Amino acid sequence: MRYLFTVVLGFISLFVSAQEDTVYLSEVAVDGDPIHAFVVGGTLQKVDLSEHEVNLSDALSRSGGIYFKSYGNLQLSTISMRGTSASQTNVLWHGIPVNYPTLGQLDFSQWSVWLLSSIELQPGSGGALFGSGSIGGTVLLDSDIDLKNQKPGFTLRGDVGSYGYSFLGAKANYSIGKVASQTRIYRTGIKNNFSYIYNGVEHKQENAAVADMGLRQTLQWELKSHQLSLDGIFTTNDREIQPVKGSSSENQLETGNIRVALSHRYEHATGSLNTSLGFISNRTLYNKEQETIVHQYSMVSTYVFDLGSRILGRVGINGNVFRAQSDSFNENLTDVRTGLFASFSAPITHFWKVTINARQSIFRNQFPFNPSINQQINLFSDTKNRLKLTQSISTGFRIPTLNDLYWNPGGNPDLEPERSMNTEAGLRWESGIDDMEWGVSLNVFKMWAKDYILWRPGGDGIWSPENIREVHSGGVEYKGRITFRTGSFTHKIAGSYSLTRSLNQTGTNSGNQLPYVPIHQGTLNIISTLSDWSLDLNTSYTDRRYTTLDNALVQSVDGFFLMNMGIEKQFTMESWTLGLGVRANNLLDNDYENLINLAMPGRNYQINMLIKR
Amino acid sequence: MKTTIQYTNLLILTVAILWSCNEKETELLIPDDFENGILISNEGSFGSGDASLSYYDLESQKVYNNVFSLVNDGKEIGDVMQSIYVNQDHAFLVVNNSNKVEALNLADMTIDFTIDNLKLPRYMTSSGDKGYVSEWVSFSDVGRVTVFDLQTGEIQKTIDTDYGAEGVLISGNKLFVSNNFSTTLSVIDLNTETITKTIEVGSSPGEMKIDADGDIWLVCGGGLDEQYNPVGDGKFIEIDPSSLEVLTVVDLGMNVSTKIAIDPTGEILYYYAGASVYKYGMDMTGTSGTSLISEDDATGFYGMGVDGAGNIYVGDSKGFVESGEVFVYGSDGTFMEKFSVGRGPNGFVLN
Repeated sequence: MRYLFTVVLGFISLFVSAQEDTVYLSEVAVDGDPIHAFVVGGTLQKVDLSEHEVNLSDALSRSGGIYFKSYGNLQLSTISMRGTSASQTNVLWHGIPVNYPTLGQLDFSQWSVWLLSSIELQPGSGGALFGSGSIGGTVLLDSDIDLKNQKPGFTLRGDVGSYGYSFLGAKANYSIGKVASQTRIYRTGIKNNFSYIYNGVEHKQENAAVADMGLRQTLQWELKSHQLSLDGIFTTNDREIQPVKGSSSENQLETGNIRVALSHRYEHATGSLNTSLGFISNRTLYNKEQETIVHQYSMVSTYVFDLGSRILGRVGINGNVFRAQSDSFNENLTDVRTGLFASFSAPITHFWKVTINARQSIFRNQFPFNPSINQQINLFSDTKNRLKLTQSISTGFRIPTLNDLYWNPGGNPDLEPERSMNTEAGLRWESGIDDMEWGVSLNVFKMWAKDYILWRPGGDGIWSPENIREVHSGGVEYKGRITFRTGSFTHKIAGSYSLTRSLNQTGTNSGNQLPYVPIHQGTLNIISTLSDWSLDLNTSYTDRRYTTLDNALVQSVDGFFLMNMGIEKQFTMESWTLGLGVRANNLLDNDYENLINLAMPGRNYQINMLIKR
Repeated sequence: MKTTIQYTNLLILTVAILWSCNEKETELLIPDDFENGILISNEGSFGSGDASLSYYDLESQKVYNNVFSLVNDGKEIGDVMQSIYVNQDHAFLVVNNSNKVEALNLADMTIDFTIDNLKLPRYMTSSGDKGYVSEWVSFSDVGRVTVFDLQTGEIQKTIDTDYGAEGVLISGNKLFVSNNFSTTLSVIDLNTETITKTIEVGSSPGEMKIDADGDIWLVCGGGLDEQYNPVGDGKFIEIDPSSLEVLTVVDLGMNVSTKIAIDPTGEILYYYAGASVYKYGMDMTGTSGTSLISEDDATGFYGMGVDGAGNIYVGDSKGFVESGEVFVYGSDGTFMEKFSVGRGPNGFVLN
């Protein structure tokens, strides 16, 4: 309560001071599906796609404020935003939910950055805008691809590195008649036979090799006011499952994913109709025995329109059909989930904009309704300074996973959705002088969540899920970036800090931090360039994590500091460029654990080559 | 300027309010001796490698947690400690998913030797200078018993039994091995170290105890039907260790734990299901067990033991999301005390 008071107080005083400034909002323009215009908190955070990164978890970690539970080096990696669990972050690809419907979460290590064209982040509950699973946050992948202005080009990347690491990838942009096309392909692998110390003895990591392959083909065709896109991603991931320190096992998991989206857009003077049809297939084979196959058929359609040139509206419908077969389900099952949603965004005054979102979802006999309201106030704006205040109250929900509902034994078809309410306020300041340009943002949030689904042993010893836990969380997120020059050098520095308290409110351990939620996290990234040379330094700190709800210190995992460094030189010959680089990861050779007793590699090296035309 | 001040205030205030790290450190001590107490095996959470050893001193009634790491320079036991076996000079920790047995000096719990390269070991017993450890081997191969030298840990022989080799018990010159994935009890002649008989018992056979008359009591936890629902066919089976005849079959009318305890008189068996403890008196011929304890504060019992005074100890795994708790009851089921231990307390061995 005190907290809320502070926010409100801070808010009011800021608001008062805002009256002095005169700012004009830019005119509303309908272009495609501008989901950005309705986002809670004002802005989606765009994540840079680095050509050095292998998978999505690396790219997102660098942006700060997100914790990944990694079960080893390039092993299973699941996301935690704002102290929630992996299934409480919604991941959308072309607006289609892509968390595995069985587990309700995604393995971020299996999604290569090489195949992606955009990554955006929305921390906080966003059920109204994004649907089920958006409790802690939402990750949007390839939301809006546009090949219209692409130039023909070709990129080839090759890496080799420690522990048998290799990467080979190619990308090509080209046109076939009136159809713009993009092809991306890669394969990567690592043996992960690094050494670690356990119980005072050096061990060699066994059974931790990973091999990935992927292909993405995108086609886009434009005719007058129509645009048609076909996008397909095909990936395989063969993984030996890294055992805990000192143990040996030969468990392995093979995963195959097919993701296809067919999107159509029709634009006219005052509106835009966007429809995507998706087919997603996920197959996992554990130890060459247990097979699970899930097919997902999805549809999402939105109509974005102008209401009297001041109000922007968006209405839509979505539907997801899951068909699953597994030894763990009684029979082949079908599960249907649908929803209707609407958003309106309007200026109240010339510097104050309010957005309202709402979604009515339908699954089984449940009807979760999720509203949200957010406002954005331009406190100050001139050629050199922009100061923006955002504030929102939103809700989130998560429909139980197929495993929660149907797992045999124990699945509970009577489960209700998890629910959350989220309030937050944020400030963004962007400014610059001469050769210097900077931006900072500060966000505070508080979230109340209930009915978290928890599996517990029943009287007959069979584990079953129930809507049990209530969690209150709050935190501060700070991000800053600055670009400046010294002599012929250009420096880009970006930093982040986040404080996350995610406290259980249920049972004997009420008031305790949830397991695997670091209280403090920080990142600092520096890129310096001098003509053809560039040097980058990525550092991150992750605080201690408890592994038990009673926050037993003896069972906690120590905080760790990581530093990676790379240096690259570019050579240009006519229309070709060649980049050659070396990288050192975990430069300080720190002994650390992400998950308790799962070994992580010490200092290791890579050599990269990037050819572009 | 005004906005900058507000902005700073907001930052400072919210950080101050949210900053309330309450790291609590339970004092960890090493007991003076391990002479009159109970060793508690905390299994840990599968895949976390956080098994731990607790010790409950019967005289001072004090609990000592994380004992193994404290006396062994911070070393860790490993992943999933299934059971502890104690003989005259050693405490043997059977660590299932680390595929090893740690032999500790009984006096101070320091490591004497380690037996590596086992395959999913479960329970241990000994006779003379030989130790016997049951192993699942895998979920698709037959289980086995590995024979090793009790003083050095050197492996001498392996004897294949049946799927899921689990409980072990020696009576006379015979080693009895229950096969949990199967419905059999293997009988091994310790002279020849070969299987001499396989007895059909029931679904999911588990631990065995010897009663006052020297007979063996085996628990069968009960099976699951095709829909994975419990069949409710848990039972006790009394076997004459000499003739190997089945003397009594007690239908318990429910699925029960595969871990059991026997009171010091050797006449009452205890078992559990969910957060309830049941007892079966061997004089209760023709009936099934009766309910003794129903614990509202427990999530699910996961292990059980009885001390020399007949008090009953049950471990609550608490769904493995937090440290486990041990509930202590008198032999009549009256609650005496409870205390916090490591994660997943699954067994109690009187020393």
